[in-house]
Amino acid sequence: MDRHSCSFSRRALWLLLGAIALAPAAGCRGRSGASGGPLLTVLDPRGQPSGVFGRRGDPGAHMMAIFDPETQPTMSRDELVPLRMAPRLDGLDGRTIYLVDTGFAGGREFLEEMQAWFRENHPGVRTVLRVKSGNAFSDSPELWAELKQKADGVVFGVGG
Amino acid sequence: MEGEYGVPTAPMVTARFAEYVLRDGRSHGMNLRWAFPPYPVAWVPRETLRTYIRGNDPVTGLPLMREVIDALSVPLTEAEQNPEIPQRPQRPRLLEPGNEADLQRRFLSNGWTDGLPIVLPTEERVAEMLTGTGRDPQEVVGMMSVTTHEEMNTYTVEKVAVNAVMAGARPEHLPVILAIASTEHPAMPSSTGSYGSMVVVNGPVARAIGMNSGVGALGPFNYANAVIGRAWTLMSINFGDARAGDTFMATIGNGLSFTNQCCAENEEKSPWEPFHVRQGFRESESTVSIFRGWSVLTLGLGTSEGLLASMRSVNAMGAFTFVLDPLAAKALKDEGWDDPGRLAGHLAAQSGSPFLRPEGIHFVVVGGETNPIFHTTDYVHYKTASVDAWVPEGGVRLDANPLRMPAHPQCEDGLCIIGR
Repeated sequence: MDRHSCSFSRRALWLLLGAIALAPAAGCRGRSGASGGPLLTVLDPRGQPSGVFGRRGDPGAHMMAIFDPETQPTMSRDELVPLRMAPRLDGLDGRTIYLVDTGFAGGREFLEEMQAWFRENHPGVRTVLRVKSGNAFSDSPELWAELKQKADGVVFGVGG
Repeated sequence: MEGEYGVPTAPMVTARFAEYVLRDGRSHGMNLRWAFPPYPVAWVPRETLRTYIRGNDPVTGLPLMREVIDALSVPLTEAEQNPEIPQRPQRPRLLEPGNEADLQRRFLSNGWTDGLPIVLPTEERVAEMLTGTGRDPQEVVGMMSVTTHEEMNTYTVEKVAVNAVMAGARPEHLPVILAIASTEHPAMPSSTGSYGSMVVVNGPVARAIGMNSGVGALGPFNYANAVIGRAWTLMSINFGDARAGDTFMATIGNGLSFTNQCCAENEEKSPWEPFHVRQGFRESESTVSIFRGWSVLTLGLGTSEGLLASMRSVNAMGAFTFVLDPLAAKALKDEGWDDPGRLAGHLAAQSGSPFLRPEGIHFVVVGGETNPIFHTTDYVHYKTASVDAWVPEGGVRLDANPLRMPAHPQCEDGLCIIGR
């Protein structure tokens, strides 16, 4: 479009002056770039916020169900409650810290090394390593019950 | 754990996913105290893991284990005690005006395109596109997200028309694109596994808008196939909010995603009932069928033994969709498989996979009869949706002189008539 409007301007100049075009091609391109042709009004292509969020699927659902809008569980903004965080510990000495492998590859090995680090650097911290049952996306109610009862704090890892 | 059990946590995810989880937390009102070890932690030597643990979080630059300890023991801040869920602002209908080059740059640099030049959705072009349907431009078609957890985006008929214009489509294509949008399926769900997708059009609309179901149907040789497939990708970007490395985590990506696998089924040459009829639609109805998996895994020739051999040779468990040239489908029918459902049952039983069910195996007949080949994909069939519901009164709105790419030589039972 710019090239066409530029050559049209140059032809008009020829006609008006009856002489060779004075404007060098570079200057013509520059003028075209500065004005850049007519202003256009275009529509925004993006979707609008819906107030509907996806959430964790039913653990018993088909493995691909989470990707299917008809079976993917959702919740509205009204149902979504901000997470209330737990009070923090006043120090880790004498505490029981669970290290929970959530099921991503390398997680158990990483947490074993972390457990060794605690033993070496914070011997007053009691660490318990647990591997969550199922896969990274499945529920594990028995482990959550154990954590509630016995853990003072939990390290979850390592996602991704 | 935090909210219901009152147990403090220190969640960890590799640095590669830091932005992903932080944004997820912000949008859900979850101010978790993350720590980010370097990536990857899988299949690396123990010494490397020890280096990570003794080293710094590459995102914050702070000692990793100091962050873990602080996450559990530093008192909550005011903001952490009073988390909020932010509300995203509504998008404007019109953008700030600009010239052609500026707007092309704005769309590209904002991540609203697929990286290729687009047709700018001017008011005039969008208004013309909307003549391709009889529906109210402000009617909500659905909602979509490429993630499974983020807030979804709604989109109207007009928003679909905007993306159709951007893809280079004409009003004749709009009903098919609206039907795809109505499924609410993004073509590119955010999985590290890099999904591919396929959309197959059945019924009279395919012929009316000149879709290719024959030679090279899944290649770059047909206008309708290309722009319809591209519009699906643009909608996935703009409605599903696909942003690479942010909401969209496909590690390698998938070349199929530019236009997806978009074609019509070769109903004329298929020995079986059309796919949409097998899904409960009438033959006279027009539909889109949405498929998704990782990719085309392998190919083979003819016969049910060939299908089985290809299934056993690839690492797919839950689903197979075979894209069969009509010659391959006819060979299967000649073998006695006049009902694809019965063939699916046979293949599921013989596959050796404990996860495979007959309803997870599908057949789509596509191709130009140049070879009895089939492509084996791991595609799941998600949905078949009506196109007719989006067609304006009076039928598909064709241009006076519809754009069509060159027609290909027709083949009949393997015999191509060159120069026809």
